[in-house]
Amino acid sequence: MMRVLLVDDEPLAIERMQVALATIPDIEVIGTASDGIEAGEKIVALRPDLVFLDVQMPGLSGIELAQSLAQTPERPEIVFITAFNRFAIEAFEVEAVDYLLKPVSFDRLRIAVERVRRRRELLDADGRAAELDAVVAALRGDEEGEPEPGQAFDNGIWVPCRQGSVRVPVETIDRIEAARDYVLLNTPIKSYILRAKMTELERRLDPKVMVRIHRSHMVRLGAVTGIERPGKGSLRLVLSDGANLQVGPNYQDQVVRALRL
Amino acid sequence: MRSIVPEQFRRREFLIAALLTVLLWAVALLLWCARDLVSGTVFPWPYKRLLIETFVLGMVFSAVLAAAIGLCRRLPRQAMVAVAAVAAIGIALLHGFIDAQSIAAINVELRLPPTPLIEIFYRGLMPFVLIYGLYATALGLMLSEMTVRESERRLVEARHATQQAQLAALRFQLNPHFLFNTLNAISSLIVTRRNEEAERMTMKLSEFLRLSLEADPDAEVMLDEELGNTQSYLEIEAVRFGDRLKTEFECPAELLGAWVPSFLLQPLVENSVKYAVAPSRKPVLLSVRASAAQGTLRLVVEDSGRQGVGLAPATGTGLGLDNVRKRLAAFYGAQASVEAQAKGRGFAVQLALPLRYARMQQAAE
Repeated sequence: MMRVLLVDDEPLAIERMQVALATIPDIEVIGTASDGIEAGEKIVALRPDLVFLDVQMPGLSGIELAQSLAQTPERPEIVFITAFNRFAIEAFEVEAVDYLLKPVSFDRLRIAVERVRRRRELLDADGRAAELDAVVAALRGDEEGEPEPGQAFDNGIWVPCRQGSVRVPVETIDRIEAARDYVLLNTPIKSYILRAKMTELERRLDPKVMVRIHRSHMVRLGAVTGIERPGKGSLRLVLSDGANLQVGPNYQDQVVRALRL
Repeated sequence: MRSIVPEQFRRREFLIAALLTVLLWAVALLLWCARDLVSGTVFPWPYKRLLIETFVLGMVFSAVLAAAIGLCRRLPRQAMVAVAAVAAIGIALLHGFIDAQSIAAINVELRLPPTPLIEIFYRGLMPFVLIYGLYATALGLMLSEMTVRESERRLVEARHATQQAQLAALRFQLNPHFLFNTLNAISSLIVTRRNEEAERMTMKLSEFLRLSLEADPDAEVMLDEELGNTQSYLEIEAVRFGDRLKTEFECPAELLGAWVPSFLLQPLVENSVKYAVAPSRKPVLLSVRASAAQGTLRLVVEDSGRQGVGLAPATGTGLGLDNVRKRLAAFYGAQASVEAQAKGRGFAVQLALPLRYARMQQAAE
């Protein structure tokens, strides 16, 4: 059972999250808070596993709260929720498992919860999250073989974080989302925000591994678990994390070729 | 090469040059005839023919001169004057020479005592030099004045366009946070099966979106409408923030027909929501008041608290206040003013603008 704290200053937003989380098994909402200070107190008192944190709040903002929690041992996992421009969070270099946009679709919320679950299962004794992606990479590496030396493509992406930079191995990334100047690298256990252009990433990454499927999406071929054809030549991909993505009309040919459909 | 002179402008130039040509040569013709008309002696036919020839040839040469001046109008001023002077003198000499030859021929025809061609040329040259010189000067002046006027016109147009663009940029812009938070709230009402509330909020949001999308940034609306817009915005925010937002409107009935720029108050109430209501745990009163004195309309937007929890009162106004200031200046110049000040724990903004009423029939609508 995962114990969840909801933090939002709008009563209706809290109610909506309660309804949405009730559809996901093994989740218990143990409390709610309507501002950053109350949230800080409840985190200490209730010790939740996961906090859904609204970014814009009275008193202490969600970001300030997350920053103050960064040093605490056994810090709960944090999923940020914001109404607009989640990439603004990158500027604060606050680590979070996921970044959601209001109104959050129930499916998207389920993906975020799954990611937290996986992350907690993989958490090592020291609770050091930074090594998790390496674990995932090692597991994946067994399946897919080591990249050949001297190849022209990057097999990892450097992402700035609070302590410096972390290298996110390409094989841990299920999909990449883009918005304006930012991209979100989605791994099974965490999302990384990075200032980069989609076209630049597309050039740097091996098209046999990571393929562009839409103006704002790239997916790792190994993460594709199914396809859907809702009709009229449209194509959707189902990924291992549960995401269901539309293939852009201009990218259909290359997706069909890459997946050998 | 594409000319940057507009077609319509070139037609006007051509017309002016043509008119000037005909006028000048008609006057010249009249002056040449004057001596003989006054003395009452009738011209011999060859002279009449010569005058007609001179008139026609003058037109042709004038057209050539006009074309030369027109062609070099883009040159620097001194170069243009030099070209015009050389062309005018050259054409005057040429026309004078042709004229002298014609006179010599007529002399032979009328059996007058022969005069050397060069003497006839000298004697007749001066009018041509004067005519073509005058012609070139007048044409040059007109053209340069037209160019000046044209560039002035363009400058005015450019200024107008800039102002329009500024007003458009200063128009009320929908706050995306507001929009998505409201959609989130509506969705919440839906998933918690409060259909009627969801329906009411959807209607309020559509009304507000429609008003803001239809609003013309450089149009004025009646205060009645402006307060209505502000009210529908605040009603939506009231659903989101629950009992944290209290609102109060105060406007004498006779001021409801006064003109104000559309969505003028929006940035101010948005500021109050952002800096007073959102960061507060306690209820905040937001009041909008209108009053008039000595031909000035005063609008006040005031909130009762900017006390964030554990923080100093925020006095931030974002870009909103600056936007309102610029917009009022664009509409009313120095006749309008904006004053902002912290009041106790709250913040108040007072706008002053010229009081003008909508016409009665519009007010009645």
